[in-house]
Amino acid sequence: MSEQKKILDQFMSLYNRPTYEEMSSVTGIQVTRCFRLVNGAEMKLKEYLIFKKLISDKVASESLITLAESCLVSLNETALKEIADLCERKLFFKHLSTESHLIEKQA
Amino acid sequence: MNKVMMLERAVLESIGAGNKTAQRISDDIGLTLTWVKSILFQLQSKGVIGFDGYSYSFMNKEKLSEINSEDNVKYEIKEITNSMIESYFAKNPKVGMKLQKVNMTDSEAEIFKTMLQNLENFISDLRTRKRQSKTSNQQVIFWGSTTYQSLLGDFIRNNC
Repeated sequence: MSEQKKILDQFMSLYNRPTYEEMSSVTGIQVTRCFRLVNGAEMKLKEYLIFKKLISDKVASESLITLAESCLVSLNETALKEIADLCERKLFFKHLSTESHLIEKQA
Repeated sequence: MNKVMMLERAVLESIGAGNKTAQRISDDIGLTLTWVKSILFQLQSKGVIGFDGYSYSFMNKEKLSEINSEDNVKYEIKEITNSMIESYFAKNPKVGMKLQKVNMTDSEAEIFKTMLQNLENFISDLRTRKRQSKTSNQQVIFWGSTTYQSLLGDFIRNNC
């Protein structure tokens, strides 16, 4: 149970203390079930994995944002351009990939 | 400037060898038809290629020289070498790569220079021969050398 509490506390803090409705919308877990979990009902494995994934996604994206902010402050124009080019190309590749999946679905 | 990715360049190289349908481009470069269509759509929207209802062809020479600009060539080399490095360390048996740091005397450096020149001549000669072969069957080769000192100096200059 202490592990469950830890995970819920972490989730609440990372997602800015969401309401039960917001929690339900982010996790896909019903509102009444969210209420029960926060009030001590035992978490199922599936629910545990959902919270765990949302926490790790949030931590990863926030650390990337922090890193990007540090880069903007510290790196020179050439280094920033290199990073920007790489991001742009990764995004363009993702765009191509999404488009190719759409074409596949339409076919 | 129009930035061109390695995937787009492969499609352009295929069209460069002769106007083709999407299916023929797919066969030529070894990518699935859906990927090829997605790339063709991008190239069309950039105004690089056109479609006459049957096959794809280059639109204008101005765009072509933009595609071959120094910046785009630099990007292509970066993408190719990056991709090769990733594949090599992922233990892809089709990828061979060597990077060595060695000391050379002046005469050894001369021998090395001559060997590189021979290699370059051999490859230039291969490029002049017209062959009926798929774009995807081409071998991708790169070589080059520099002094460690110059490499370290450039690294510091580019990142300071």
